[in-house]
This record gives sequence, C-alpha cells and structure tokens, in this order.
Amino acid sequence: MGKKKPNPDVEKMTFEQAITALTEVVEQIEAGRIPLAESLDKYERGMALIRRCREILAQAEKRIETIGAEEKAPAPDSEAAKGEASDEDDGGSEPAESADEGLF
Amino acid sequence: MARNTTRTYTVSEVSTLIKVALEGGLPGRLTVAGQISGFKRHASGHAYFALKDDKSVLAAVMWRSKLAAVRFAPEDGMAVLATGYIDLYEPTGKVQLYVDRLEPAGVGALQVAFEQMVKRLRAEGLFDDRHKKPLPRFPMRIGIVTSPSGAAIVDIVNSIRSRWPCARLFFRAVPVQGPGAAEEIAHAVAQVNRENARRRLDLLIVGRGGGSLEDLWAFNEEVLARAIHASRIPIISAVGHEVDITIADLVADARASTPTQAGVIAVPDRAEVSARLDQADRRLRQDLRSRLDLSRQRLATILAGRVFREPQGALAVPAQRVDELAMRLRHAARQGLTRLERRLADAHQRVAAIEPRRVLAEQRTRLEALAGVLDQRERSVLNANQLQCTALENRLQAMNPRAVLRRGYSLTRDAQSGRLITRSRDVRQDTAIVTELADEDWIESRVTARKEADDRADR
Repeated sequence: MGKKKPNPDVEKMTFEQAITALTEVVEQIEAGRIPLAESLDKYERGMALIRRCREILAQAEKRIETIGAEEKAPAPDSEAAKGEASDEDDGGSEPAESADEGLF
Repeated sequence: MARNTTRTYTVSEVSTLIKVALEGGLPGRLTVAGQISGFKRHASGHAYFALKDDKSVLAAVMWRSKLAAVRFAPEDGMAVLATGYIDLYEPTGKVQLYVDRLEPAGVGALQVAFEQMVKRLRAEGLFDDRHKKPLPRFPMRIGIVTSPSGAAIVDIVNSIRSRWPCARLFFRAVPVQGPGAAEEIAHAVAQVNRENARRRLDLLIVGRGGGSLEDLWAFNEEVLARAIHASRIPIISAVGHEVDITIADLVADARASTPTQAGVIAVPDRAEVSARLDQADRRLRQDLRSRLDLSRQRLATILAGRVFREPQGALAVPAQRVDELAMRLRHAARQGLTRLERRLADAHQRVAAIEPRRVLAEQRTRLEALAGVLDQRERSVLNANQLQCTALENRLQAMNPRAVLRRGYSLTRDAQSGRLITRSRDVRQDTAIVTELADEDWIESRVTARKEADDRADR
C-alpha cells in the first residue's frame, strides 16, 4: 500500500470528541463489514484517537486560576489579548481565558 | 386634672385624654399575638392591617422602612407576633398598634419565607426538569464560585483533583453570607456567563459549607435563583450538608449534598476512563488480528489453487484448443472465416485472462500490505509463502514467450528511444540499434544498409 495518511484532525479534538470517534471506530471494525485495507486505516485512526485521549488524561494543571471581579469597561485590555494568544491545548473547548494569576 | 362630669369636652380634648390614658395604662412597647386580616400595602409602601383573636380586633400599621426587614410575605390568616407601641391616631380616632417587628408565630420567619419562595418559583416553572441542562461528560474547564475562606473550596478542589486532574480549575471568590451576599453571588454567576466566550468553562460549581438557615440564606434568595436559572453554563449547587436544601439546589442543573460530593458529580474517574481506553485498544488489536487471519487463509487457498500448483496444466487445455482451432481455421479458411477467427481470438483472450502473473502480482501486493502489520511469527509463515511464489514465478518464466529468443529470433530496438523496430523504415542509415538476444544478451550496432520489402496485405 502507499504511505499511511496521518490523522491531523485528531490532534485538535476535545476529549469528548475523541472518545466518541473512538467508540465509532471500534464498532465499525468489530462489525467487520469494511474491506481489509480500510480497516487498516481505521485501526490506525483508532490508535491515534486512543493516544490523543491518553495525552489529555495525562495533563495535570497544578494551579487554580482566579477570575477577578468584573472590570468597569469591557475594553480589549492587554490581559485579554494575552489570553487569546496562549491557546493552550487542554483537551477542552478552544481559545484561552484572560491571564489570571495562580491562587494556590 | 380633676374629673369634672358636668363640664363639656371638645373632641380633641377627649382624644388627648385617651392618648394620655393609653400612655399611662399600657407598656411603652409590647408584643401582640394575633391573626393578620385585611392586609393591604398602600402605594406609599406602608402596610395597614388588623390583628384578630376570637373576640377582638386591633388595628395595625407598619411603615415601609420596618416592612423591609420582614423576610416573609405577611398574608391574611397568618398567625404572627407583632411588636411595637400602641397610640391613638387622632384624625381618625383609631387606636393602632404601630408595628416595627413582625414574626410568624411558631415557625421561624425564614422558614416561612423559604416555603413561600419555593411555592412561588415552582409555580413559575423555575425548578422544572426541562430547564435542567445535562452536565458535560468530560469537563475540562471548571469554574468554582464560593468563599475563599472556609472548607468548601478546599473540599471541592481536592475532590476534583483526586479524580480528574486533567481539568483546569477557575475560582471566583464571593461572600457566601451576610447582607448583599446573594447579589454578589448572582452577579458572579452572570459575569462568568458573560465572559465565557473567552474562558469557555464547561461547568460551574456554586456553593458553601454548612451553617444555620440564617447562614445559608443567601442561597434561598430570589436574585440568585434567577441568576442560576439564566446561566447557560451548567451549574452544580453544593450548599451545606445533606439535610440542607436551598432554592439554589432546586434551581440548579444538579445538586451535590456536600462540596466533596460536588467533585464526584462533576467529573468522571480517571482510572475508569483509562480502563475503557485500554479495552478499546485491546478490541482494536484483536479485531484486526482476526481480519488478517481471515485474509491470510484466503491467500493460502489461492496459492494452493490449481493455477499455481500446475500452471502448465491450467494452460494445457486452452493451449491445445488453440492448436485445434488453428487447424480448423486453416481447413475452413473459405467458410465462416470470421466466425472462427472470433472464436480463436476469444480463446486467446481466455488464456491471457488467466494472467497468472497479474494475479501473482496482486496477491503479492496484498501480501506486502499484510506483512507490515503482522508480527514475527506470522512473517515467517509469509516468507515461506513468498518462497513458494518465487518458485512458481520461475516456472512461469520458463514458459515465457521470450523463450523463443533462444531459437534464434531477436528483438531489435532503437538504442536511443528503446522503441522496438519492426520495419526498416523505423531506422535510418547510421542509426544506433540494440539487438536483444536470448537470456538478455544484447548487441549494439549501427545501420549500414536497409531494404524495405514490397507491400504485403497483412501486418
């Protein structure tokens, strides 16, 4: 066969998405109705999904971030801009929050 | 002043006398137990009502400023304790109790207020199941709204961290008792909702540790109930202990009996989820192995088939048939030539269609694909099969049409283009040509002379 296609969409998935996709893949392969070559691809995808889930599970953020009481004007302050830039991949929904300091 | 029965008094004089008599004859401040009747609030905010028992009625007034401190809603028929002073209101001649404190008799004011609130909000539908949002299965960003002091925050954080450390936690400090606390908490819930496009919290936990009904009162207030109801982020309410139910608990999308319990409800157990992943891993490998076994068996069957065991045998019959038909063609050249020609062509095709080499190549490709994922033991089995393939290939080679080259025929190609040369006109004087002989020997030469044959009818 040709070179294996990577699964780039998996890298961006949330945990919930990955687990759902994984369940689907396992069921499809077990049903046994797909041709062999395709089941090889699906197997690869299943492995990638499992890796992604484990990756997210292994994270362990020690800090707790504080949410300050609301500022007066909702202007685009530097904190919000900083928050947007640090798009941390934590397996949750996408962009980051305002840069809060750690508490304990 | 001496009593004078013969003198005529003015109304005002009598009123004043009554006032004085009241002042002298009654305690300056007293508490009256009675049933509320005719309770009315004027536009001014002041309340006018009467207190009754089975024999008598006493008029009562409560100014707006005093009413504000009353936590429950006074209703007709309610048994209350009203505290204040008695005075005569001269313009109407009414003796009234000026109430500055009102309490339900028996059960506490707070309890009554709580029950009234539950009834009202339930009737509005605020507690209905259809408003309750499902909690996210795997929350990764969790907000906690509670007091920074106290055990609640510690319990919640420890509970979550021990089960699901991959979640990020966000803390919004609020007062959880005292005046204005309910408003503060409600404001915090609304704020977090407003800011959620950036922060993307999956879940909120709102609560506090145990305390008296008074201590927990903020979580019974309407402003907080409405803020929780309006929240688009799912909320777990974790207030007090097992036995304490607050309005916040009823309105929230889920209720935890304690702060620690909130962690259990909010997040899954990492160990459990990890075990599920292990299981999925095992199932995938198992299923694939089964599929590959099946394919291997099919391949083995094909290799064992007649085409490979006895290629000559497979070809023998068609080959013989070709000879046969060729003979008949020669004899019946004049009759039905086209029909026989077609049948000959057909037989040729069927021989070609067996295409053992193509089948072999295909199977080999499949073999290569499968070899990539099988382990060592299986690979050695494949190797054996590969050897068999090679052996068969060699046998096929022996039947190669190129064998004819050994009989003296050769192939001539243009040295530069590699194009096969079949006619003299394909070359010029001095063109370099390569002659392919048997066993891949070749000779290179140049054209010195050529001759083109006379026209012929066939190819």
